Amino acid sequence: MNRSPWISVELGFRHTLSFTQTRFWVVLLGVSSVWAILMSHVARDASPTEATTAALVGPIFGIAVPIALFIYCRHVEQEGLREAAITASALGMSRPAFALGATLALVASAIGLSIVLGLLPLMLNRGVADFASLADLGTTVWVVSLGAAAYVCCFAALGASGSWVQGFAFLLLDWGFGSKAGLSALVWPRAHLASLLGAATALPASAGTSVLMLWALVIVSTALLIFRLSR
Amino acid sequence: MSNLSFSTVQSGPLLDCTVSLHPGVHWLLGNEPAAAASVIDLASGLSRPRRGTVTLNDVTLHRAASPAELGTLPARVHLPRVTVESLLERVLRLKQSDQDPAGLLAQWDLLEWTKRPCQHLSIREARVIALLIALATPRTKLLSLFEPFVLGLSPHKIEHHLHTAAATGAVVLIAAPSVSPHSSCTLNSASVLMLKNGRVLSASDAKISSDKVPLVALRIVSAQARTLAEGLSTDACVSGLTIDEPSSPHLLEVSGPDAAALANAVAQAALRTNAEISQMTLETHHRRPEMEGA
Repeated sequence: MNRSPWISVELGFRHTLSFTQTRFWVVLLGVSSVWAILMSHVARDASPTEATTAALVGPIFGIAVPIALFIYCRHVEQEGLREAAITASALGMSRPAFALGATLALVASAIGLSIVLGLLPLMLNRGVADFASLADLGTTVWVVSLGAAAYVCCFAALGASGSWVQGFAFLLLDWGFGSKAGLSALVWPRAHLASLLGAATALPASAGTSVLMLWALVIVSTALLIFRLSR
Repeated sequence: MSNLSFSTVQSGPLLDCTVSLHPGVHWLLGNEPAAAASVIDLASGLSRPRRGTVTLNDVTLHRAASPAELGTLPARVHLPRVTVESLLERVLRLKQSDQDPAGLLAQWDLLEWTKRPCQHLSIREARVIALLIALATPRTKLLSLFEPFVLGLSPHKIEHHLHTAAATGAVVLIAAPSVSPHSSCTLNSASVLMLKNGRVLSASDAKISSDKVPLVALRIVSAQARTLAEGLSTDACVSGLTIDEPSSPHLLEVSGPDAAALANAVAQAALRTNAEISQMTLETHHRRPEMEGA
């Protein structure tokens, strides 16, 4: 008997990815991009490399991306992600597999948004001609992708309870503790993302540890999201 | 052959109950939509009782059958945001059904729905799709349906599917807080359970009376009667909705046990759907079977 969970994964993925074809997503991406362009312009007094790092670490991945992803997750959950998972189960699908598909779509759309916002300061401050430094481009893409995945999984998992309070508290704590030095910064994505993007942080962890911590956040919060949507 | 039994202690609006169902058609009556919806959710494994068990063939339901072998129409349906055709194609493949989406929709005269996105379907239309999927489940062990006869589909076709499933050894559980006139013929060949004060009672515990018990009915005149009806279709205090579209498409009759709750539900649905109500009158001429005691 064909009990392939892939059909459930696919439907969960398509259900959630469909939110990127809505006016809501266009507005979210548009407003975030305008913010990124403005902040890239403000930072132009410094050298191109410093300006890029300052714009990425502070206003873009310190403020815009976490807020945009919090709002995005909230919107997807308000539009009935949990109810869709329950209905999928009533139609014969696997609820955990549907939830996994939804998570993959959230991560894919968050990566798309973060890459757009991450490349804007690179292009504006260093120019398209300087894109010869493909190593920088590649590094920026994978770092911001990992950071966005960590944020979106955390917000989605915390919001799956049906309340916005847990996700909002995470956002505030990430701002509060993630920008500090010391051990209290270790569990927050902001600190690791800033470290990997080249900011001068006093984080007591190597780049490898930061990558591992971001992966751990992705895996743990994905498991929590699947558990919560499957109950 | 499938045997469904469940024993619960206080699961939402549902109180302690122990029920065993053998293959065949079983009606769950009683004017308690929330409790009836809970029974359907429990019976189909969509929710778990706080305590107690739900078993199919003496095995806990979650381990007894793949969800693909169950046919379920819950009270609330929120379909994934894909087209109707895309959803049906995948779900029918998952259930290993021989039918194709177009064939299934054509069978119910709904072929024009093929390309519609599920997120644009009304509440009633989404429930119709869920019902088609439930009825199309091959080799089903359990069909648990909430109010399948109020969706505007041919009751004879639905009945045919239900009896076919029951004949092949499936347990068919139909929760119908609002008993439609058509259902009376089905009741003759099925067992009846009654819901009273959150408890499920078997027919032997409850005496079904044909005494005429008045229900409140609101007759509403509105240019958007159909929209208003769709807005009211899942409201817990509404037990019946009638529009005679060919002769009087602007006249909607809404019935339920509580006049104040009914009027409030109509007002809220009118606000939600932007439907204008030009006239509303109160009547008490409806009748329904009612349980006398247990």
